[in-house]
Amino acid sequence: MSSQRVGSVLALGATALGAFYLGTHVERERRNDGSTSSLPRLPGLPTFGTVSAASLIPAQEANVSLAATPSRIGQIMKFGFPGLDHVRSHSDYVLSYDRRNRVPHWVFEHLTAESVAKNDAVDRAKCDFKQDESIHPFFRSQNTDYRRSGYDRGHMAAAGNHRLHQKHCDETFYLSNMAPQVGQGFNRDAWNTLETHVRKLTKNYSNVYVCTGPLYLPHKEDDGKTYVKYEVIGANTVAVPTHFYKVIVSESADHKLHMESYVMPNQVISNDTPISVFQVPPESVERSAGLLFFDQINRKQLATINGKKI
Amino acid sequence: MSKRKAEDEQSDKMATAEKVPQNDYTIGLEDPIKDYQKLIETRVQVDEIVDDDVTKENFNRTAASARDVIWQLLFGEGNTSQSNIEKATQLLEEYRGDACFYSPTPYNEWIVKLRDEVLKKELLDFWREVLLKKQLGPCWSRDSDLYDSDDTPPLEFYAHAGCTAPFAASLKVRAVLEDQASQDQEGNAVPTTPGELSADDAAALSGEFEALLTKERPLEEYRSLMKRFVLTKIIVPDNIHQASVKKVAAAARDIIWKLLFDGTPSSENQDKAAELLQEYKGDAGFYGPADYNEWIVKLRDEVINKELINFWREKMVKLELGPCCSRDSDYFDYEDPLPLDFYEKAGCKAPFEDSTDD
Repeated sequence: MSSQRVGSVLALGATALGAFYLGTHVERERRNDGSTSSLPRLPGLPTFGTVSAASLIPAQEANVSLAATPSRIGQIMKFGFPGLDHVRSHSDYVLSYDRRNRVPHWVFEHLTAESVAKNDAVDRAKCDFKQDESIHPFFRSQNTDYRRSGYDRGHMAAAGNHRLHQKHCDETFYLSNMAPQVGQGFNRDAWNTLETHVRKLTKNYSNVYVCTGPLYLPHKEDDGKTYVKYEVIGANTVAVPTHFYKVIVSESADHKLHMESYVMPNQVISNDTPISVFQVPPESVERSAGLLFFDQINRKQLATINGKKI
Repeated sequence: MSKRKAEDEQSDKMATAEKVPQNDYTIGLEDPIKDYQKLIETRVQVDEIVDDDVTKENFNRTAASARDVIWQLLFGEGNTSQSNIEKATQLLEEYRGDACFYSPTPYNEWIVKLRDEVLKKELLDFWREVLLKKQLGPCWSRDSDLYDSDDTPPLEFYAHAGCTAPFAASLKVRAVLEDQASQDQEGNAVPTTPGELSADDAAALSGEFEALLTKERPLEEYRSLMKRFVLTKIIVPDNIHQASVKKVAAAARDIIWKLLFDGTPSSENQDKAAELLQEYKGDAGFYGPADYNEWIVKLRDEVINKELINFWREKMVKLELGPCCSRDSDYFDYEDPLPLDFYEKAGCKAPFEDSTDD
């Protein structure tokens, strides 16, 4: 078989697989809430045409979408996929799952002032951390892995970013959206401060796109060699990332694009540390993560990176 | 789908097939903490894959049972003995730890009622020494990953009977710090200098540099050229990189020839030539040995021709400075013939054996 044919077979396979998983996901949702009314069967990965930055993105529908519609995925992924490994589409965020490490590779979110605004109809206390049954049991993380591990079930796509509907919020509590995070001093504090900062950007920018994920960074040991070392927790050996990143692009009313990029260590960070300390050049995150963020944007088109003019 | 379902059903069975009767969530007054822990271990903290709804229901029933027992131990008729209070304290601590992970909301609602009853019954020691000191009020971001610093801390819960929350002071300090940090953030546009290329990196990138070695310190100069223009950390296009390697290699060959054949070489110059030749051969084995393997034959012939027999025996043969082969370069493997005949001049033999079996 020629390599070209192998390539096209692979691409077809990936799309079909995505469609299968989303199909089962939609099926499950249908059984759960009984609302069989008008949920269309949709492919998990939109065809590439629909996510091109050049294509027309329909304006936000008045009614909130509860399924992962191509138009919503197209909006979220407007500036490109960082990678295509095990992509899962939820109603308001997109995730790529790292089956070896049992945590995400990345999650992508699109925030507006409306989607992060306080909404009495959405109550985070009603959400439960639950296993993601669309993930094969071999690679699924469970609550038992995290209990008494010393780590929080740390959201990659934050619950507070998805307030248009209870279901949007519920879906951020899938354990496939979690990575082990240090609790006090990180997840519940410094990392939360960064999440809050991203939400605040919607006050000044009409659209905020953010990619979040784990890093496993090397360090030099006494023998002068460099190693990557990280803990794994529970019976499912869930990886404890050494760092986490957020790469953010904010779109102002005049369509100028501003990028910010942060890497924070997964450890206790003093509350008096300003988050600007953790700003790093976006390329360095890309090199470490093995991913390209917002690759539909030429970096020279950006108005600023980390607050600095280009 | 059906396979997955079958697996789930199987693990349901495993989770509940325990010694204790399935629907019994009784916690006795004798050793309540032990009964409680056993329920958690067998019905909740199960390593097999169990439907989350089942686990949740199992925890809720265990929790309800724990709440009943704690209430009984504290407010039951007649026996508010010290040992009952201790049992209640232990169970409350243990249950709260699990509630923080599995389901804080019912705990947070119930603990308010418990506090009110404690205050009403004037169990002030229990209030101060247990609920307050051990911070057994509502779960919050201090102890549960279901909360974060945006949530309101349960200060009010502890503000009774002349008490304040043990963490009130640290929250105040924190508020001040956050205020400062957000102000810093406002006026923060620290310019970071973009990575500008050093002069050497720029030369490495363009391939425009001069490669000249002198007879005085040829090895050091060769190493310096390699370090500055070849072993860079920046990414250089392959063709430029190769040209740079060739340029430094040519300079090495040139100076070795001069050291040996400009008149009769001193033993010092022979040593210098051998040192550099050894280093250059090592690099050639990595970057591509073709030029070396061709040139080294000419060098040998000239060495023999000029009757530098000492250099031939002590350096070229002994230090194995003939063509690169599978002994020193990953360009070759065991199927390639070894350059045995290169060394068979002036009565010498290769310093290694033929390794091929046939």
